[in-house]
Amino acid sequence: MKKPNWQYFSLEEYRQRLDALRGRMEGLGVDAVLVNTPENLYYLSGYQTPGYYWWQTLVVPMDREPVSVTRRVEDSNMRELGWVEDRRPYEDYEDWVEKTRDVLVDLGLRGKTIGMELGSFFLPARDYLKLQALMPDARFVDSTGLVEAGRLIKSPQEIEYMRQAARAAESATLAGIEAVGLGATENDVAAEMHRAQIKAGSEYTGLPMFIASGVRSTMTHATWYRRPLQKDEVVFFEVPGCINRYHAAMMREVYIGDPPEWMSRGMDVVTDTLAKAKEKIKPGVVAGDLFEEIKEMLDSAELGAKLERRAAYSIGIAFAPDWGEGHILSIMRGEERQLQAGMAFHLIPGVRVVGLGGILCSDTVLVTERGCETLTGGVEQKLFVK
Amino acid sequence: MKQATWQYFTLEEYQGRLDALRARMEAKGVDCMLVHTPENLCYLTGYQTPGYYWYQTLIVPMDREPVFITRLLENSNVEHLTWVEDSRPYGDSDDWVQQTRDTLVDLGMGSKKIGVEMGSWFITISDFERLKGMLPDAEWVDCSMMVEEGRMIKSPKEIEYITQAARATEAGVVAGIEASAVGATENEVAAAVHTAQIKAGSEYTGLPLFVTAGKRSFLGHVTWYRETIQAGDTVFLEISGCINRYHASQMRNVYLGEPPEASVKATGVMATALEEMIKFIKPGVRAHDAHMVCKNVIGDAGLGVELNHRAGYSIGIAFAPDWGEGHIISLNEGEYRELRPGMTFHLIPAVFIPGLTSVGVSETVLVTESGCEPITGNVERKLFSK
Repeated sequence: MKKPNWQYFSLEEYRQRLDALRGRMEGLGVDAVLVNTPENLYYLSGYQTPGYYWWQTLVVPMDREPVSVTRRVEDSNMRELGWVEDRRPYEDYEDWVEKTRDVLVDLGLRGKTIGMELGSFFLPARDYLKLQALMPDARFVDSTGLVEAGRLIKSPQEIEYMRQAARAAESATLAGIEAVGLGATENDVAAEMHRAQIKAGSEYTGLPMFIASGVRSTMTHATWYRRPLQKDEVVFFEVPGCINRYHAAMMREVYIGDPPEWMSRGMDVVTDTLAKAKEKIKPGVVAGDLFEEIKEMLDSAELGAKLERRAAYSIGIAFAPDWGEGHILSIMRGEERQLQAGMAFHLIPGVRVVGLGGILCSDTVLVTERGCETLTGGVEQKLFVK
Repeated sequence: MKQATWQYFTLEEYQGRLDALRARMEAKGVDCMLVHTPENLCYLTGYQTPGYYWYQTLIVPMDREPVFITRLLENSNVEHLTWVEDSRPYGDSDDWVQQTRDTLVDLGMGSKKIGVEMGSWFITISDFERLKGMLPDAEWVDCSMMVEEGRMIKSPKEIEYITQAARATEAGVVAGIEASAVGATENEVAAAVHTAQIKAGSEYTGLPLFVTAGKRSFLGHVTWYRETIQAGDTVFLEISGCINRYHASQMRNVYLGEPPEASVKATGVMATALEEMIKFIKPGVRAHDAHMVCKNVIGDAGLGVELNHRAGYSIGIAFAPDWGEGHIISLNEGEYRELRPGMTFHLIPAVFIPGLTSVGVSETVLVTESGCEPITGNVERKLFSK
């Protein structure tokens, strides 16, 4: 391990992450794993780039230091941001699968058992099949989730980055509330929110900010679209901040005009559900049980729509296309795992009522030894009115 | 086909895209095709969401209207944005592979030839393997790039959106030049760029905007990171604008202080390389030769460095993690396909000069019937100084 010029975590912390991964590799019975997922590469090594639309992998053998295979243009990022010393980049005109095969053979893995992240977006089936064909003597097994298991519990330094990210999310939310008004467009509001979020230190985020008014607030994942804001409509914000790739996110809403009963009562139910869910969160709680309680609170209030999705998702390191890591753990139906101290969630109670608007309010929370701490509490949990 | 609430193209244009795809499917001999790539879904139907980190597919049979399978939450986007009438969404705790299997069986495809985009990021290997296991009698054919082939040549309406995007791009670049100053942080410049670009109508882009200065600027794909800009730094701006998911990009540099001769010279070389490419490009020339024009201008200039990446990439519809579509066609060594009218490229002569920084001057251009015309512009092709 060498010391990077820009270092996000101590070498000890990286070493612990690597050792823990090797422990899980041993359990799976593999001689090496290939790590292709951008978040996992960053978590293990410090390497990051938005250029992960080219092949990149970290080969982690059981018995030897890891080797990176990235595009030549990106190699600087491993050199300056990562601790990995053995870097073997490929040129734009080279075949990266053959290059990877050459590296694996050179490391003595020709006839060995190799784990690959078969559930990862950034390992296309075609490249996988080609590598298999190039290495007929190797045995390939699915190692999806092996690195993610380490990401689930956040260390003190990771939590510190998420706290900083939360400050940027709050700044953007406050700027958005301020910018909402008749005569403004969704883009005018989005422009002010980006200005505030980035000035507060945020980096680019894993998903765009969500800023949607009126009917667009009922469309999942709709975001700013040049629409003029109108009276008697809700404006929905779902806003992240990002520091060293760690995210915190929050939802708030602004109503333009006198909020009707469905909106004001609905927001009371949603914020009440959010508060009660936080009271219930503590180590040992079963995620699926918590989901059912949240769903019951929302559904029994008869807001015109029911909770049709998960109630929270794990959040931490992210690259597009997601700022969450709900595939690692979500608070959803049937999830039998228990909450543990050091987990972080974006807790997202709310519903979208077709023909009316979204009723949503959320926070990023940390599971502590004793309960639950809100990271994005700098903006009141209520319906803002303009 | 039904009319959408927000419609990006006429139903005739969508029908034309679908017909062209079916002709390619027929040539490949498949009975239906599964489309998983976000850009391809948008191109074929108008569907878009940043939420493509959940499984989604459009099943396109040869002999029947297409069927959408998305997360239940995203079904609102099928309803409001697309012409597709047959939508069969799945719930958060449902099995989407099972849903896909059931739908294929219902469409009579259980033992047919089915095309899959095996080069796409958004069908994971584990989902694909499971689907294959559930339909043992089906035959699977790689249909990567089948939809992309249609995306390569832009229609007048597509060119109009790219042209609108170019205006937002330029607004961002101009604001970035304006905000660059000794003592400002990279984040302050990035904030100004985002504010201007979004106010000029832009949507979220497929990559973050690249705004960097000083000591980190030699990293590949690096972007803003809270560093303070100092005298003698070069601010690197590579900005994209986006309208209806169509992108246009542009690159410029700003020097803080009296620029050294070497920087001025290198920027001049990049501008010349760009102009020579624009003069050279017309229908019938090979992509490889256009690349060599750029490579030779830079190689012959005596800068002591060479072009070490492709000279340009196709650009159009994009979702993260890319704003280009260079995998469809790039101006690169060994790419011998001929250029055709309606192709659009981001031409990117740029080098890293040790001791200075990355230097680049770029434009997004259109291949016309008779030559090549810039779509971005309106910002001088020079090294700016402040």
